[in-house]
Amino acid sequence: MDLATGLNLELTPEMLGQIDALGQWLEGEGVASGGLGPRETDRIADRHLLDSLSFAVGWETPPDTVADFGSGVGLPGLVLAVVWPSTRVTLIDRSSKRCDLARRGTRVAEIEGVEVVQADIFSVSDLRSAIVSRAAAPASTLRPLLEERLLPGGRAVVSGDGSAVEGYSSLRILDQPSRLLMMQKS
Amino acid sequence: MSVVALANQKGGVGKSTTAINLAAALAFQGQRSLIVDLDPQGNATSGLGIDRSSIRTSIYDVILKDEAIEDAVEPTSVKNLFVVPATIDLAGAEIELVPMLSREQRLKQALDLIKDDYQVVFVDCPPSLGLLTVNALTAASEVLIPIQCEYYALEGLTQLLSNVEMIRRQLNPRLEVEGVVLTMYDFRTNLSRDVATQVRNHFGDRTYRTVIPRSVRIAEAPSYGEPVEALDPMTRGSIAYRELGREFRRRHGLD
Repeated sequence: MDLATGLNLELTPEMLGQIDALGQWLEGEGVASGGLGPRETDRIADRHLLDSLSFAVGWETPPDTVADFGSGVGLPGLVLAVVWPSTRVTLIDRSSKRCDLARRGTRVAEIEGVEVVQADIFSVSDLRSAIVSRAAAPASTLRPLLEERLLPGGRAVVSGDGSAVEGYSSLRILDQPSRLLMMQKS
Repeated sequence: MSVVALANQKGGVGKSTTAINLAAALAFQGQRSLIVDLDPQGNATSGLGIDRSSIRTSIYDVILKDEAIEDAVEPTSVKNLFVVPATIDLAGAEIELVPMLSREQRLKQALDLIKDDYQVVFVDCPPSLGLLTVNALTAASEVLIPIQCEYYALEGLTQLLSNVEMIRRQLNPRLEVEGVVLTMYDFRTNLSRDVATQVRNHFGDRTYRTVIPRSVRIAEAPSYGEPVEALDPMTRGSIAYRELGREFRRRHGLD
């Protein structure tokens, strides 16, 4: 995968196998259970898995821990858990059904280092060093939350564009590759 | 002065109990010790016999209202042992701190003013990794992690260690994980032994050799508002915390 090379990631055959297993599970149970839309079946690889992989752009080396805010069926957190095997990934979603699905995806694709927490992202007060969030809420809704929950120096990569953080002095935009917003707390 | 944050985002692992009884052991051994209760549950406060309804100035007033920390310090029934109490107001502090200037440094700024008055300060953290714990880790020179000898003991520690590392890099370069204390050790079970082995494999020499046994007297002591050593100096729990105190002093070069 050229994207992986661009992101400085070395994908082993085992990792590719896990991502493939995750993709097959998403195509089957993920879509059937309503975790992904009914029209997504044919575009899971590029629209979901590769897009999830691109969230790794925020870190030169894998972080020790990362939280996925509003993780749904587990994207991008599960893909990051595969390519960052030493990182502890916490998936947070308020829906018990989506949490159950994410747990199942984790099991089916045999992904380790993942914890699924059922909670509203707006009510979890822990501060974190690394956060990702993909299509869970508009970036403009997430920005005050990130302002609160990132440790100084902590980074977040969320889907969205720069207009979401205008006026937020402590969140410095590091880069915004097309549809991702990468920020660091000062 | 050493400022030691007792942190673990799991609840019920022995943070307040260790704060009270280790600080008391050190106080009995002649070290002037202060406990800062940063947990809205206020267990370290009530466990030292401070009536929460009679508190005039608490850690909340110090951090949020810029009251002088000297005014919040209360004596306890043990000579050399003092406490800055917590009240339930603290439960709202995580939210109230968010818009404040230097919100991570409020406790550090307060403690800097009294650093010459005590040999050791223990900060009893809440069971979360929110802004109060960040304040404790920013003010501290070291972190002491109590770990309960039960299943899931190590769960969540990666996030704590990752936050410690981030705070060390960004806010407090001298911060280090000084030690791990095994609590509620049950000598009769394999589980306790297995957890202890796992922790020692992970943390090596940083794990204190003294383990704190599961003990009825330790559990009862807070209801008397006393450290266990004041209540019953010959019980196993008292002996363990005394030994932990000696080990702590050896590590810190305290006479």
